[in-house]
Amino acid sequence: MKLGNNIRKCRFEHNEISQQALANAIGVTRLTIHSIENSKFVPSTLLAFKLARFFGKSVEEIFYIIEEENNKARRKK
Amino acid sequence: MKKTLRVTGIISLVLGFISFCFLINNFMIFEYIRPLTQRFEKLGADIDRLMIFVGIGFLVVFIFHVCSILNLTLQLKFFKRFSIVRAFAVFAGILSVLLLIGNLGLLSDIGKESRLGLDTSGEWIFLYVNHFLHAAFIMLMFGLIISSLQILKKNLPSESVIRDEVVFITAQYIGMFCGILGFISLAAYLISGLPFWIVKKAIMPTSVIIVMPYFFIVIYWLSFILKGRVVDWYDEKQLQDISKAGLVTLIVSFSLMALLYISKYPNLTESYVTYFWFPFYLFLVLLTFSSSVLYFNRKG
Repeated sequence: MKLGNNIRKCRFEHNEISQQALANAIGVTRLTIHSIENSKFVPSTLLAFKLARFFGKSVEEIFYIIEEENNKARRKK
Repeated sequence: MKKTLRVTGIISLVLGFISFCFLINNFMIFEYIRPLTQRFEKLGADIDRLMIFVGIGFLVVFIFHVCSILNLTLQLKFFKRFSIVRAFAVFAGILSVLLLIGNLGLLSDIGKESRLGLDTSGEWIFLYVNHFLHAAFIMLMFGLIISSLQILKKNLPSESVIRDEVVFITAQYIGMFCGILGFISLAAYLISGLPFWIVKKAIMPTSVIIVMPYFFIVIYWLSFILKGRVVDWYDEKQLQDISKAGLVTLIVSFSLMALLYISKYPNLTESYVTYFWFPFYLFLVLLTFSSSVLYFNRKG
């Protein structure tokens, strides 16, 4: 199971806000935003809520679970 | 800050040029004095007068180093993107300024030992190597300052950064440089064939000098983070990277030290082990921790 996200899309919709500007608004480093966006780092619940609040969306609208089993099965098909 | 960066940059450039001239001057003076000390000839009043110039030279080189380190710390604050060359310059600058202080000790040793009719060739080699390192640092700073001044000239809009990551990454790179240099110095002591009493006397001061750049950058970094609350010291990803690196360091250091203990430090006499184990452990921990933090940081 992996945590996917729509942060890139949300940033685009939010006047193409840069990773650094988003990081400043949330209070983390740019690298953290970069890692979350690329699904390399799973944020804490608090950080997930902060991101959701920043974009004015619910956490579920930003983060979703990727079922790896399904992905593998899809790839096989 | 832009103005201070520009001013310290220009001052460093000017001082760097003068320092370089003084280093050449020092080298020429040393080349004149060295044969005299090696023939154990009495050094007259004219040599004392020459040494005043050497002293002035050291003072100028020292001021250049202070100015350059100030400029580097401003660069770390101003430029938001990490640069490995800048990290190396911080490491080299702190090391070079410590070696500069060491030069005074070397010159005093040369004076005393030549009066007693002792061989001073080792001290001269160290003195020349130190001068070469100072000159290399000046060259490195020339490149860095000129490139930073060019960026400032372009007047690029810089994005503000609330949570700094450059100092954090720079500190890890410096830790890695210190660890590598530490291992090189330990290996050099082991294979140099120097008498044990010299190794015993020199190993700890050398280790302390090598670790100093890391110590200073950590102090600099602490000066930022101590202003905030404890929970804000690290970004949550940085905290995760540090935790993982801590675990890797524990496993690596424990396994390697245990392995060395079991193998009974082959080819090392007990007396060497007594003086080597702590610097070895220090550099091992520093290298493993810093490189693993960087690995996890880059991995994402």
